[in-house]
Amino acid sequence: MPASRLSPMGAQVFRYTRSALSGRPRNKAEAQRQGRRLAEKVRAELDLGSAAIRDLAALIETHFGVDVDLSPLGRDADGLCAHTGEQALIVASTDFPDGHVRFTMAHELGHHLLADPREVIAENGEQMYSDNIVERRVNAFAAHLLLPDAGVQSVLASLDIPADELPTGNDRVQRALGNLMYRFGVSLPALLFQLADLRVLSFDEVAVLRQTLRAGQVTARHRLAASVPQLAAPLAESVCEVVRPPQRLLETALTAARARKIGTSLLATLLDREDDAGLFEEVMGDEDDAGRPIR
Amino acid sequence: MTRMTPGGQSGDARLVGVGGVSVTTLSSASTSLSPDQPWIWFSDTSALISAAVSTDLGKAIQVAIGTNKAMLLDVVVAELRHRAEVDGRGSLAAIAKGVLTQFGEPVTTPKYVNTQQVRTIQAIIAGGRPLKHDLEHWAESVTIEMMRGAHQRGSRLRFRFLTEDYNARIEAAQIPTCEPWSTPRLLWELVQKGDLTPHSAAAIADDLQRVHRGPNVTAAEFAGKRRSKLGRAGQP
Repeated sequence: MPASRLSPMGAQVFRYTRSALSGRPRNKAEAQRQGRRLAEKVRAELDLGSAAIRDLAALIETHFGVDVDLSPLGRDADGLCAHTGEQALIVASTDFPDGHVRFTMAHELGHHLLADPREVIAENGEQMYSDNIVERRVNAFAAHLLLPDAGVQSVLASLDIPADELPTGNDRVQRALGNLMYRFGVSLPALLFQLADLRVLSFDEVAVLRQTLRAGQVTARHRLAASVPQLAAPLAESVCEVVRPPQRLLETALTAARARKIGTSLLATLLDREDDAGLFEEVMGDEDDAGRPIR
Repeated sequence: MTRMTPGGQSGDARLVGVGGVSVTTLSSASTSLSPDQPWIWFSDTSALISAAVSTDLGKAIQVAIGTNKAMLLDVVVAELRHRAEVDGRGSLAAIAKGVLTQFGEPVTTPKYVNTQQVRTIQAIIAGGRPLKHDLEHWAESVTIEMMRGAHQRGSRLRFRFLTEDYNARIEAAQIPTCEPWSTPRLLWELVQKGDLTPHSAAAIADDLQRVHRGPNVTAAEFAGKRRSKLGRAGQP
């Protein structure tokens, strides 16, 4: 298997964390600031602007030399980050809604970028959202990476939602929240948490909205308003159960299968597929007897 | 077809157990193979069950083996017996079990193979999927390990391994002296040699497809030069 590599932009991010964020934050406010600064640095280095990140797993693998595995692993753990000097792996359970899984990936990336000294960091929701200063820093990183301030403000402005209307949680607000969830691929709790951090809502207002709003209801209102068909709807409110093996591993297995060095059973396992015959057709495509593509 | 057992000489080749693996007593050091070197045929449980679908396929297999040697392994017999018990009388496994005598006495394999190696091959064939039972893929793995052991010790024997399991064929194909075939591939080879008509091959393929044991292959595809038309059954 080829070695995992940092992109030049990813290497720049690592240099930044080593020089500017190497120490443990002294308090919660500093943890919050450091997480935000790191997210902004990542967005700046990768030239992401304030746009949504569509394929977060691919972005992590491409720029930070980390393998990402997404599998339905149950709800006992959200995810883990295992890293040594040379290798790093992020695993996220997809027995959660899509927005939750993306937050877990971003959270675990934060641990890796900030060189969390633990070699294996396995976490459930309770640990991820604990008041621990280290967790607070990576949560801030994840929130600002997925939901950049400028992106949120621009959506709210384009929907013409005044700041004093947001706490009402009325239909228009729900459509706006659904729009943000859909556009940025985040869960409702993560969105509300971030709106508080961005001072768009107060923490008390967030607490009320968390009590009264349901993710399904919010995204349904957005879908109706935007004519988003059910099938194209975000997975923010449904369990996604995606299976995504690390790309490096999958590419290596595909190459070996095409060269007839391995069968298709390993690929079937990696992709959680049952139909070996169909998989064979997809993997081999139209090839001649020697495995060369037919033109 | 010549019957052969590891300990007893039969024709001009024999396999003997040395150091837990089977090797040939034919001039031992060279690994270069001559085209007229006889083939040693192994058949997996899956191929024997396919042969039970159609007596014509059984005959075609005998034609393909010709005057070469065929070895029946105890693990294949054990698996067939087990499946015949589970599937009941009249099942394909029971039919296949009933015609095993044509392959001679089964060879007792444990003394010829390294069990740990067999387990490794079994895991490779499974490809990470949990085994349905301990003996799943076991017979193919034992066969592959016997062929691999013979090759590694410089045997000049050539092996044909008949199995419907694509993953087992790919693993067997890593042995340079082994040519793994599915039964549709065997039919195609016979058609190419003129030993079987394309229509007869297609009729057998129809029988196999009807019981979900083979792809849909037309007479024209059997007559054609491109084995890839057989799909997965034509590979490797």
